[in-house]
Amino acid sequence: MTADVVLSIQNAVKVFTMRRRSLKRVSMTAVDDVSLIVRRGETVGLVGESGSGKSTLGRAILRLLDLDGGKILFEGQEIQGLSEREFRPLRTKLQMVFQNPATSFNPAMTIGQTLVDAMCLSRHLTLKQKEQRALALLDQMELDERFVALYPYEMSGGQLQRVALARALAPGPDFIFLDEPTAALDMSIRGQIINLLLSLQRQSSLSFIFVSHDLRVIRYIAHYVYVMYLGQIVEAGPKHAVFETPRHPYTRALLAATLIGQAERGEMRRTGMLAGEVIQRTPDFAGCKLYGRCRYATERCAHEPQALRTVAPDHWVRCWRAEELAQSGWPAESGAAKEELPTGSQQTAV
Amino acid sequence: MVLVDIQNLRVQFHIGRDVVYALRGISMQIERGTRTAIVGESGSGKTVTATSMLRLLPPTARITEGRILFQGTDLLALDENELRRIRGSKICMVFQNAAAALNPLYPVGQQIADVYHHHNGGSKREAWQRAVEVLAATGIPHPEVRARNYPFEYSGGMAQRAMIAMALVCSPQLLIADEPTSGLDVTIQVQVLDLIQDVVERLNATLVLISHDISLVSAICNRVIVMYAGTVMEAGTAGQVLEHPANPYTIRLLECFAGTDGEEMPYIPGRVPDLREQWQGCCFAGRCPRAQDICWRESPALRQVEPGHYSSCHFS
Amino acid sequence: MTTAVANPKGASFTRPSLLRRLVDTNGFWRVAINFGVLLVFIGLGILAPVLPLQNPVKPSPMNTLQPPSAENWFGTDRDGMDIFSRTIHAIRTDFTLAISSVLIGIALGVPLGAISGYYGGLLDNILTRITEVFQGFPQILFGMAFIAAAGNTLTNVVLIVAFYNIPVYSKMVRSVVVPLRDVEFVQAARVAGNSSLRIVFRHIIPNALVPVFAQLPLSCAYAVQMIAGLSFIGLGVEIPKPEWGSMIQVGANYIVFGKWWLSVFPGLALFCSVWVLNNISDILKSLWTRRV
Repeated sequence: MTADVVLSIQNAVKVFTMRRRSLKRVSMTAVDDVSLIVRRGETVGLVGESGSGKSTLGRAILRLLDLDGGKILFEGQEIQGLSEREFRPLRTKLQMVFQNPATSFNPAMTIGQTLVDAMCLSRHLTLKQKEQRALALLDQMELDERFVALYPYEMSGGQLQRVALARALAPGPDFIFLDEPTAALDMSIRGQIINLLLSLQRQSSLSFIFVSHDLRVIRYIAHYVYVMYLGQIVEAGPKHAVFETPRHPYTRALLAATLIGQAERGEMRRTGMLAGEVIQRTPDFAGCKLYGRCRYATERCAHEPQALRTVAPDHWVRCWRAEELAQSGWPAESGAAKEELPTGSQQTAV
Repeated sequence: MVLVDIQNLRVQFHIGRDVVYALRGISMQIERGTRTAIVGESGSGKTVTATSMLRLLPPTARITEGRILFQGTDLLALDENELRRIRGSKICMVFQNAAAALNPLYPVGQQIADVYHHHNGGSKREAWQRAVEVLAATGIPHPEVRARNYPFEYSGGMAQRAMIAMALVCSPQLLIADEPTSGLDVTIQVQVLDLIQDVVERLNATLVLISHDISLVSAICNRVIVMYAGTVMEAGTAGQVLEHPANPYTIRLLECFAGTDGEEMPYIPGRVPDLREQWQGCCFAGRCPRAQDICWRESPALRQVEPGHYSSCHFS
Repeated sequence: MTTAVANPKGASFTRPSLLRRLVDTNGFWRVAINFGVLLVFIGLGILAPVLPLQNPVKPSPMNTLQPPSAENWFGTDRDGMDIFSRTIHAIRTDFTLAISSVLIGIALGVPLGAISGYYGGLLDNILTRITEVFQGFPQILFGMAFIAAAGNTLTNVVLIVAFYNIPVYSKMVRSVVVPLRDVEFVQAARVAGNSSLRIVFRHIIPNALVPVFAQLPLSCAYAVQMIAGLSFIGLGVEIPKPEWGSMIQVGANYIVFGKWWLSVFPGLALFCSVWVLNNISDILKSLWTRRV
């Protein structure tokens, strides 16, 4: 089933320059040549930790910031070059759910007012109609009608995130970018949001990009998974492929970290760990960005830029050792003289 | 040998005109040499339990009942001076947001050295050396340089290591770690947990690990206590609680973490009860699939289900 | 206060009334006393001409500097005018001048600061520099120059004080707005399709008002001082017209002679008004700040 493509990102680049104390300009590539597609009625899981660039990508899609390079096509139309005025009518089709329910609502407005405000572009609706729609949306989110008169501080995080979903649905979008929508919620209530999203998607063929570092949630919601590290996509493929046969060391590390406690991952945990912290690279660094943390790294990894390549139909990996390591069963020790890594003591900043 | 014995502890918070009943008569025992996890979600009271042990509650808190016995002494009956001798030397705490728990105005090494110096005396040079040593022991590279850095120059994971180093320098008997991995990248979380396990083994200390992530703590803890809405729901060895849980809340919670093979993600409908209210009956009655009349009328006591395994439920 | 039973008629978008909410958060007596006193003041001010008071501007040379008595409740001043009557008549002057000038200052300064802070860039730079020019002026000199150019009317006095307040509120609001630019609910408003101007007025300004409320009573008190200062040098309020600030200032010279009532009574009136305004600003602030 190849549904048509709703959103296509081609070679997106975003660089932030910051002036440090030493007056030297330091630039950080937040998004480094990222391409991805989202099909109608499907969810793309965007996985990565801090610094991976996933939130920046979302803001670029929603035109909250502009890319420095590359294209974003929504239903075939290029949107990254449009002015705010040209883009505004499209905003009803592209919506976003933010991570932190505590700060994503205007504390001076009631939930009802916020929902009506979310329909500010739907000029064909009267105020009464907007209010009716707001009540209907709350009902769909399994929230009692009376919430419409409450202020955000009077509601719990789980309830607010459902309102956030209602707010994103209010203008009638085709695509929603969800930036870690369940990260601030207790594990025992995440399922409610996830299941709501799944049923919405079935009913209305909505397309989502769901960002999370928690693979437990991605497992339910995503059809296709892109794993990002320091602005690059390091692995991409259908969900089952990425979860069952991960090919990139970083993906394995994420799986090992978030799926601890499950018996079959015990082995992966020992061999999957990364050393040290994220190492930001200067633009002149040509090797793999995971070098210095990856236990399978060799000298080649430090100098040779890695490209995204297929290891199986529709399964892409950015690592030249992917097949070799998979065949040898991801040994605890590998060719490069990296011994069993103690807890992060081999951090070498480049 | 029981190191910490909490007996029927009740803690309230007075905020404005509201009273929040954070702990509703909890009891637990921590044996020496164990690694115990206190697991719970928001509002469960797990952090309040930990801060109560060290009497670090904010001024809005009132301990209305109960005792906390540490090696037989009631910590709640001690005065500030006696407490200060215990804090830092016998009981140490690692806080959630490490970067915020460190004083931004002083170099990290100096803060660690000060703690050492305060409890062990000796020369300043000795204290500094010890500080560098523990920083190295927690896996921080170039510890001599890092010791002179300020907290804002540390990343999240590194700041946590520094906090653990501070705990290490005191050689405490009890180490309490309150959500030491929250806010950190998942790949760093595993490192920090391994480090804590390492440190506790080296010190031959007892660990109390507070977390909301029940699957994370199972990796390093051998006992688990599950809390909900200010009440202890279940307590037992990690094997008992995680493999054959007795309390419906624990069962549902584990389902959410472990996931199922279905298409829908499991969750517990409803929400945590308002802690400003007091109720009869079981705190989980509103959300429990097995709730019956008695659950609404009578609050279940913590009863033994099998040796060493306790649950507060009428039906377990 | 949530009711146990859901609203049977279907949910409404309205909340319990403003008054109800104020009383719920602040307690009945606090709201009642403060608003009550304010209303009493305003009522006295409005009704002053028809109340049975002595003529506030009629000098009585035989009766100067008399202490409080049955005839003159607050005593008489150096011209023999009844201080009680003057204190009450002064409400009209002080309240109108002070409050209106501060309100004009807020009405202009707040949007200015919000726009400046939200849009940033060149606009922000220009507006900030302009407000700094205003702030740099010594107010009395500015007042004198303005009146010399535009005439000695009460409206001009109001404008002078308003000019002074514009940069105060503009700077204050701007500093609150700059961090609000990146807060998630503002981004959400943009995603919903709000234009920048709408975001400033609908989303940003309501959240920037807390310090404005805190500053308002202080600005009013300072406005009274400014007006008194101007009237002292003959600008604005003409001398016999009752006005607290000038009454206090003139009366201050007599305290050393033991004639305390000239300054104390208008002083108390001023003190009461500022205090009540302060409390009211706290009460109103409670509408914005969340309960813990």
